[in-house]
Amino acid sequence: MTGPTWSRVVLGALVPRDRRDDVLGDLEEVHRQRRATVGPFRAWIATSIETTVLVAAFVLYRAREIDWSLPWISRSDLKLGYRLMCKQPVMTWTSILAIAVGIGVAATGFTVFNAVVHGQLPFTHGDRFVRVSAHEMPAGWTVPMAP
Amino acid sequence: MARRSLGELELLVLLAVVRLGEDRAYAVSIAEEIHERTGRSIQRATVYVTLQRLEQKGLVSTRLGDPLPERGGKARRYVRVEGPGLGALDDTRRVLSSMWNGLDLATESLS
Repeated sequence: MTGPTWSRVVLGALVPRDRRDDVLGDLEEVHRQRRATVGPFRAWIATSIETTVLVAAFVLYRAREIDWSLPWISRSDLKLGYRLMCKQPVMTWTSILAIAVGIGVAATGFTVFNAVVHGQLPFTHGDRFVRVSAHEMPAGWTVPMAP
Repeated sequence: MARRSLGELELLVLLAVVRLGEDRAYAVSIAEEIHERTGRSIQRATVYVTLQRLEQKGLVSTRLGDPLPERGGKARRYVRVEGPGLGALDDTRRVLSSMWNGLDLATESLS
């Protein structure tokens, strides 16, 4: 298989089981044709964009079977959104990338902050190192204890 | 009077399937056939959804072919137009022909 891995994973999860093999096969066939004509990088980009459209199509097709009787959403809004996404695949892909980069930056920032501020002490089993202290409690006071 | 009316996409997909024949008609070739004949780029996702709708209406049927190495060992899903599909095509052609009959756009735009 030569197509983008994420395409296969996402489509494999979203496409109905009885259609999975032929949809993934079509993706692979077209991707190989593209690789031969425009090279691996541009083929990867084009197949990724196509995957986005395929995902939107299958999600919305499945969504038609759900009762969307909620006050804040309507089927016509979903249809309009889907059509706009199909019409502007570059914009759609840019938005998805922007969201992905935003989530990635926030997660990285949190990870670094957590490691610096709450990082474990620099020796073996540093995360098990705790401070124990005792306080003299006034008569009649109780301290909640962990089980 | 038409028994069933086909949307534009349904009409294009059905005609592409008839042109290709049941041994060559699958999603990729259908999208290519429409592109070659009309110049319109149709997303394969659109073809999938249209084919599912046509299958639910009983106008086409599908079958899986043999696994192919150029598809990573996956099979193609070939499409075949059923009798009701041919009937719907015929109805649509008759309706469109009757609407076009006697109409001259050049004359209409001048008057």
